Amino acid sequence: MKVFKLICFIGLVFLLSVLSADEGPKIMVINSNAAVDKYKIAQEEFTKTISTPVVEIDLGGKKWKIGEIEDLLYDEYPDLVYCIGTKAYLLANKFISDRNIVFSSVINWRRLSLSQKTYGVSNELNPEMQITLYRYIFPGLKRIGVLYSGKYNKHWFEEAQKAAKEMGVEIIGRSLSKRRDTLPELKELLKEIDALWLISDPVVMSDKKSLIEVFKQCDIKKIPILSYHNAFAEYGAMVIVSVDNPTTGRQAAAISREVLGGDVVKKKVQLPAGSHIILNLKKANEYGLKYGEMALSVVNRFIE
Amino acid sequence: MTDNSHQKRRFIALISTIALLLIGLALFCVISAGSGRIKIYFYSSETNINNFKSLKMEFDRYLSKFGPYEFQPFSARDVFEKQVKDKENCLFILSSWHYRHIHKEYSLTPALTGVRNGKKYQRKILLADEKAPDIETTKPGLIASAGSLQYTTSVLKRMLKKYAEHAFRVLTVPKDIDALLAAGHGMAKLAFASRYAFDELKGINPRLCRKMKVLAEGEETLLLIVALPQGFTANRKKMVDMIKNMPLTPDGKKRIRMLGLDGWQELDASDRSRLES
Repeated sequence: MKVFKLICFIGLVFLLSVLSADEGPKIMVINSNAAVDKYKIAQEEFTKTISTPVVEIDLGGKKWKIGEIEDLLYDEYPDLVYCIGTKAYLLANKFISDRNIVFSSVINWRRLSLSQKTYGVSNELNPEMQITLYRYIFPGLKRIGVLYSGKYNKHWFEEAQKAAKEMGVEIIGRSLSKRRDTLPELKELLKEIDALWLISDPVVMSDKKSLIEVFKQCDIKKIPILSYHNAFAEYGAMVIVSVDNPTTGRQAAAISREVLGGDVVKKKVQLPAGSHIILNLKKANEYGLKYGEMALSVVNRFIE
Repeated sequence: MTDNSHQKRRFIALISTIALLLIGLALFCVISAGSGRIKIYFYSSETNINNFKSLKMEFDRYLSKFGPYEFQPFSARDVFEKQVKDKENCLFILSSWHYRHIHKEYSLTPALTGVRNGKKYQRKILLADEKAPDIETTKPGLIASAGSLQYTTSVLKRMLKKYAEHAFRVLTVPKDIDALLAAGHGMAKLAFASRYAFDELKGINPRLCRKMKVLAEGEETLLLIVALPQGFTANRKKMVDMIKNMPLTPDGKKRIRMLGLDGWQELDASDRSRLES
């Protein structure tokens, strides 16, 4: 009888271990607001790529109480949580920072507090990638102007200048300390450059009025504007190189697989691997700019 | 009085019937005109760039000059294959890899192949950082590729025979240049791209390319294929000439460059045998 009980016990333990092994890792996706297109796309691509059932939470879908989210996170206690947007990351990091967290679509991730188990895909393409793609479209670009504030973008500017030099491109910068310097500095800069690279800078882009004036002055001198955000298409930017949101979701899934597979992830926060390009062909023809022979095959959207 | 109203009612009924018949006839004309359109179906397993809206607008505008043609791009292979099944009066533009896989089932005949820089063949390569270990000794890590997962793994298995049973991990990116930049900047261990894209990048960013090495090379394959179903009954020559002559006008040239080509060429017997073997 004792032997029978022992066999039953061992069998039960074996069965439980098999069942728990089959369960697989528990993954949760927290979306700051699934109504935002780029967040929604990242989530869709992530779930498609990871091909494992995931628990999905949309923070924009209803009015959540902090306690409700806290309960949900502790109840689920996922092995890995993919956070889309800052709001999602802050909540996951507040309650379950001991779990693996992968973030994306977070503006300026460097200001976030990160744990040993935090990974992510940054929201900004690095300057070298951007210059490479700008030159892929317009191989004739030699001198690119940049307006920036030393306070926010000194390091970025130096990095861009160094990367550009290696490609035979000169980056000519004007460091601004006050927003009222924007237009006088721009007028001087326009005399020396082939294109203006409009970067994300709180001093340069302090208000809509001065932004419109920057576009107007460049248009008068037929100097193309290169930029990083699709919103500048309506202002008349010549080329916009931005992050490809579906790729970001797939990249987050690739990082998650590595983390859950126990692989060593060398770069904890990666640069985005995919680009999305808008080209204003109407303006290129108007300015008499010559684009690369095969440039048209890498453009997502044309403005004509 | 009663006769009058009766006649009036009959008259109204007659007019209504005629109106209904006319509406029906108009609808029939519209529908049959639609079905008379010749569609050009496009799907490439070698690129993942979401430019379908631009492609459709540009090609439709160009093709409308020649007759009732319509361009229909697809983003997924399964949707493409489901949609084109048993279609006869249409034309396909697809990768040579895809053509090889479906030409028997779909009874396709190749008409033209794409040309880039005067060449109709291309080669895929696998690249990594110059410090990466040899592919023969270390299993491949994450591979950035603009091709579909099926296409990428199929070509990789022929390229790296040792890993024929290996489950490759692929990060799908929009285009070849993204794959190369991803490996160059450490977002992926390896890049799977065309030799042509790598040569182009060398001209723009030589420093980055110097830091990368070619680990393996695939077989030469034809670029995009223009194919027709065997049951194609419309004017075959007119249709093929329309596509073939695209590079002769600036408008046509612009559209084929959107496909990453600069011309079309007819296939010879050797091309066809390599394509269908």
